[in-house]
Amino acid sequence: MKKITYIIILSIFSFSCSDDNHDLETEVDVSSVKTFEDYLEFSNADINNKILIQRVGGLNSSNSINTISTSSTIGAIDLEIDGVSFSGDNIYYGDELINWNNNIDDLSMFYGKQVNVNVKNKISQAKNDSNSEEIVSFYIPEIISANLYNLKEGHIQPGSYITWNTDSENVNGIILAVEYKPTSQFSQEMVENYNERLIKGLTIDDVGTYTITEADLAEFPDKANLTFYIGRTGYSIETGNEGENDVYIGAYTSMRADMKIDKE
Amino acid sequence: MIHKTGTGLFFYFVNFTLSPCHLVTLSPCHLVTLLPCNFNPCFKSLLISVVILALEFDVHKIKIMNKKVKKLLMFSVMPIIALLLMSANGNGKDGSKKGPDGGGSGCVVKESDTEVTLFSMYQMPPGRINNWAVPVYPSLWSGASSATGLFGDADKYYCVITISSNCNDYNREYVWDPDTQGGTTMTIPVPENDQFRINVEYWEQCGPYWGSSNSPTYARGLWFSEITQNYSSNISISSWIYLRRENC
Repeated sequence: MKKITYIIILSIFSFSCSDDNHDLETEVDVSSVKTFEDYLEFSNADINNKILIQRVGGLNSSNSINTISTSSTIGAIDLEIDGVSFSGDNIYYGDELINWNNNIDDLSMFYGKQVNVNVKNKISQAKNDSNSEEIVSFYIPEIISANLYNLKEGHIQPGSYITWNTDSENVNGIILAVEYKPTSQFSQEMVENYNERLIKGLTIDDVGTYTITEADLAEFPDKANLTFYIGRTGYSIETGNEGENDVYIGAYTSMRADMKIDKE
Repeated sequence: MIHKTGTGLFFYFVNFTLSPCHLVTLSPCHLVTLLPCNFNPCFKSLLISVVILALEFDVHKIKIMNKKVKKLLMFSVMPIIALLLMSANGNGKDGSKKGPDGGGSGCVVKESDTEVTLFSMYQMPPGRINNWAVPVYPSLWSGASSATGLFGDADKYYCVITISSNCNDYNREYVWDPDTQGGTTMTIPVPENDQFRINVEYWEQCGPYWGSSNSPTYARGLWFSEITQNYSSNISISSWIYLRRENC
């Protein structure tokens, strides 16, 4: 523990004495959330074992993409979710991490409930108390299902609103995001005038509806093709002895819609 | 958009990270202390170091305490330390200092090549006349290179791969250009040391593929595929989700 502490102290000291301006943004704004991974705050943390359960859908589509991604410093993770086993069949053995990423046909049975995840041979190392159960329990929110209303000839306008199925058990709120990409535009003039990617997001309580305002769209060019995202997440961390062998487990459900905007 | 107060750990982080003019740290007795921003950064870090040393002292002291308390303390301290590292470097989440890519330069992406393979699917949305594969075969595989923009040629397919990561606002786009003429794979660099999102968007060519057989509509459809994952030397894109169509 002492070694780690000294390294941290040295790091802080060296970073802090740089010439950079240390001021931070003056307020939490819509740019604070960039992606769903950003929403899963700990996905970027330096944690020994990570498991991410994902379900991605589209506004006009009945099918979805379901995947599990794992990463570990100890070895390839074998896990069970509510007794169902998942293991990698395309394991990548890197110098520092061992990863696998698999498409799964259906993960819907795990959403909207408290699940028990057994990470074999990992959690027992992570738990402080060797007598504790080798299971992490956490809540995966309901699969999100959203719709857009008050469109103007199929285009998003200020006053259009999005509705979704609420999840009273979801304490992490909802993420909404809008993205502009030059490569998704049909007009050369649009691309020439706006050639930078722009993504804005916000988090709100899981109340089931949000009305898009003029301010929300202010920074995006009129008649642009935009991508709208909505999603929610659940996650859990098991901390290990002296910060080692932590296990992070996260899950998210998201939906995407691509539409033009019409501000006039 | 208006940021509304939410619940959960995420908000805990953001609100602290973006505190405008104060540095947040923990005192040994686990109370939040605020340091003015105009503190000399070296003094500030020195003070933080002292606080952490004191904290460590406390951690040693509480070894004999209830394990739950110790766990709670560890769990609370580690994120705060991470936060301090970010803020001390002037690159907290969405900090004002931007790296060369426009993002904070708090971390460095190490890239390695991966081979992306696109697989076709046949599940078509309502309103689609032709049950052709998506991405369509053989057009996508036979072209030497794709159009350079959707506006370039409505009669061409368009396929772009986007790789993004939170590290340093990493975002790269690659227009589909297979490794070999007519091939189904394309080799691109992706982050090796950080989780990343791979997103593939596919616009088909304009054609009479939609509506009814008697009176088809000329349009082009958009599909996408997406996964957040860790590094692998090959990535298979096999599931596609239909998003919308654009009349031509």
